[in-house]
Amino acid sequence: MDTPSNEKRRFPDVAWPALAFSLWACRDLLVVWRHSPLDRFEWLAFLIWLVPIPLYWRHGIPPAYRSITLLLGVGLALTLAGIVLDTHSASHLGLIAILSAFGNRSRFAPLWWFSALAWIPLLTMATKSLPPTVIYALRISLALLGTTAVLLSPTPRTPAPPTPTPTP
Amino acid sequence: MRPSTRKAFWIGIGTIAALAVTWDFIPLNDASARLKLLPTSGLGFASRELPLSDTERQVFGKAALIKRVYQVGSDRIILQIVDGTRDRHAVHDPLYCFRGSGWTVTQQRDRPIPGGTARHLILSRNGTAAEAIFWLSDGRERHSSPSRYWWQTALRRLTLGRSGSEPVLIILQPWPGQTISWDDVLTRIGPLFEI
Repeated sequence: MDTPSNEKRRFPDVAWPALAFSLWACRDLLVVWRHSPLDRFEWLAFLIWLVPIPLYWRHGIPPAYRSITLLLGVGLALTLAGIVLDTHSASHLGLIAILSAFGNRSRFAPLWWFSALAWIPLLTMATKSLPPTVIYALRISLALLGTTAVLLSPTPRTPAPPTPTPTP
Repeated sequence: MRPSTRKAFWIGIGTIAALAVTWDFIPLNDASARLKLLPTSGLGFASRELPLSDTERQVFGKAALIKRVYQVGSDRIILQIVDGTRDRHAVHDPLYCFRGSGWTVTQQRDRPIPGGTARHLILSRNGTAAEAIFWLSDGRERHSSPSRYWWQTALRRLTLGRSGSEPVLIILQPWPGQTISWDDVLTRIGPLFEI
């Protein structure tokens, strides 16, 4: 049985099916990463970008429920838009939002969310007029920037439970 | 998370999953009727089908593709038409594809065609020059904007085809090593502008 403090640290159970579904909706990424020449190294940017998530879980910092709910909601809405409009970019943005819910809530978290553009083809589409090597460099730099910023920034911690005051 | 929020999430996930499964089964009219209007031969031109490479088969997936070589007078051109009704993601921005294949776009300009504009590209790769003309057509209007194509096809899927006909991508390239007169070719293959 969960103690109140353990319950606080538990992630909402709806996040897992949301993540599984979003990953399924973004399965095209595997094909893109493997075959699209201009999307080269997106897989590497993805791995770099993911680094804060296991570290965050390892340290067991309690999630901010309000931001998790918001990110999961936005992620599911974008996934729905991606399915109905048959637009992969919307599903990719949805996956970013859902994965971001698993990340930490430091001051630089929004920069980390934004840097996820490094591993989806939307960035390539927006920069397609640049030379391919510049696109690859931009991709890896963006992922490194977001990950480094979020890892180096102080994470707000939940205040420790008050120490019982000794009764006279 | 509050129980009501949690319940809303579960309903949301269930709804999206049900939509994802059923959405692909909703039939959407394709452009095959329009593509049949393109004759393989006519006054001043003749054509033959070109086989698809393994990569092309993989890239175009479920999309319908016409790939022919047309002899128009002394000019020989390769024509590709992609109908992305069954797989919209097979229709890429040609600039994206050419650049991905190592070509550099040295020059590009709009070119007026019946019903709109096409985009004329001058390309180079390892000292080899090439060119291509492309446009997107829904049978009434022709343009060369991939973002407009995206809006048209997204709206079409949202309205289950009621917003208009499916645009198709049309790409013309001279046979490798040939220089051609585009004015002459585009005038002689008039049926291209009925698609």
